[in-house]
Amino acid sequence: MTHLDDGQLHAYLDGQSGQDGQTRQQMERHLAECAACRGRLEEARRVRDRARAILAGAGPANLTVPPFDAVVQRAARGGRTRRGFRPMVPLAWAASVALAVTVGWYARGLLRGGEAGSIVATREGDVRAAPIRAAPPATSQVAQAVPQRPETTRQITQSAADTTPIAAAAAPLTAPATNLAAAESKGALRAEARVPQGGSIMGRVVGAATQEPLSGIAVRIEGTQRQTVTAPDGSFQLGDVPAGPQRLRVTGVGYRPQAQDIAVLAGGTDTVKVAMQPTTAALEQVVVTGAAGVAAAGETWVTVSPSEAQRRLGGPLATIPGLPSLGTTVSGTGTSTVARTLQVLGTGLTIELIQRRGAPPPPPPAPTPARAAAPAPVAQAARGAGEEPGQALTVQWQGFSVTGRALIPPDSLRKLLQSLTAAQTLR
Amino acid sequence: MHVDWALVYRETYTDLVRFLHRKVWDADQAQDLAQETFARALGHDPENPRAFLFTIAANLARDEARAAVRRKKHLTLMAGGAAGAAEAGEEAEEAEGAERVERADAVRRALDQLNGRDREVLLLWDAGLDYTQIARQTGLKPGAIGTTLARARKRLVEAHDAASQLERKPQTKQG
Repeated sequence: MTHLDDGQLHAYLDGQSGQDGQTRQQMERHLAECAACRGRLEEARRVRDRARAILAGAGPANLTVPPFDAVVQRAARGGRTRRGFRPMVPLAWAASVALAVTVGWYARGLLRGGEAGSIVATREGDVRAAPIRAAPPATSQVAQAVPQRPETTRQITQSAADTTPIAAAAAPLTAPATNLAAAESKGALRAEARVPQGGSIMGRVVGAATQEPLSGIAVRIEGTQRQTVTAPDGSFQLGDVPAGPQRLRVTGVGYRPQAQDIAVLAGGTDTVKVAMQPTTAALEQVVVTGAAGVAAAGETWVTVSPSEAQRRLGGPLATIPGLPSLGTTVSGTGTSTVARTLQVLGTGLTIELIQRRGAPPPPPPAPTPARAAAPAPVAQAARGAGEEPGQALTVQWQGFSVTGRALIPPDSLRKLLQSLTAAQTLR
Repeated sequence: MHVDWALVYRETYTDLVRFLHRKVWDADQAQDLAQETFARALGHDPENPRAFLFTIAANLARDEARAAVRRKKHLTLMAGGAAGAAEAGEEAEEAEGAERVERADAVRRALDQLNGRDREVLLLWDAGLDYTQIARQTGLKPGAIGTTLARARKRLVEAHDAASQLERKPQTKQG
């Protein structure tokens, strides 16, 4: 693994590793081996702490948080005078039409049951929204409809070049909406502001077979942007989760994606435990990149027992001694049979062995194939074949070419492949 | 699915105020803008309340900066009166927290040395957003956030340390 750059070091310090594909584990493994990077990590830590200290020197002192009611009342009042609205007066006709529709829609959303009723909202005389009865467009989310707003209704002084249109356009429109809702019924608005409930979820992700904690696993609430990555002890926590039935999506390199249905209680904390199965089962499609032979796209893989794999291969099944096997899948028939075995190297780390008859397809410098005693390694850092990214090395063994692929340094990979032996099964 | 703004408010208010403070450099105004941000956010159902709030806040801060420029022009034309009293009040306060203001000024100057995007990422991280949220807010790739933060932090420290070694002329203009 190449040395860690500044971005990776800082991400590691922030507990946010994994954004660029390098997991925390991989980085820790490298740091364990590389003194230079350790030194740079300490340097980065120093910079980070200093930056934090500097920023801390410029913040509000002794901040007491005003009660939430103050916010609700402020929203009801229509907020501060917005100078930017003045220029909108000439465009009031367009604005009021647009606002009238949107205001009615907000009302519908806020007052559940869709009874818009008669609502009048005035904002310091700037814009008047007409009473609304009808239910407006069918779009369900404020956020999606709003970006369609024409320029006329936005504050002219505002430029949205570097802001998402959602909030930029929503800002001028929110005030009338909350205004009207408050005008309709102060009680209702207060209730609405509190009724939307959220909860939190915490839990742990472990390997299904070993029950060992898995770190660097991505955990996400489907349909939202609430997501996080598990800590070294496999734990995670998500707050701000909308209440009700939710689906947890758990994904990690080398494991089958998991989904778990959970029910989030408003204001509560749910605990879940997720067990991850390593990827072994039938792959519908395998994409070939690099020269380490894997079956062409479109072939199907079938999980078989080692003895069946050997029967199909017509020879011994290559495995690395001492490592648990997660199973073997085969594809193809006769002499074109390819077998893929996955074995566990460590927590969250697997090695993939692709075995096929004969010599590998022409890669860059391939020395003449020899027997087990002197393997002919072809090292590549290709990504893609099968599901295992990382270094790939191909050796000749018992008349087969065996390609090992794992996220470990080439030397370790070489050592592992040199220890190849036949799977212990009955012929 | 609805957002419980009361809960989000409790959890996010302080961070939002701190974020705004680094933009307007006025504690009271930062609080006022934070209140305004929440007031505007009510009634919406964003998937990501935090990012939503910070976007509104960033907008408000920018508008406020422009309005402040306009206000300053007005103030210079007004003949004392309310404006004068307000300034006197501010001065008294400043005398008390003079050291704090100086420190804040130093930070502010250092922050000004960063380019806009780096500064924004730094402030958002300091406000408590994670890399994914920062990426979404700024339009950067999540994988680039680490690099941006590394650069921003380094630059901040350099600028701050360099400035503290130089002699500074007293600032006559009020922030």
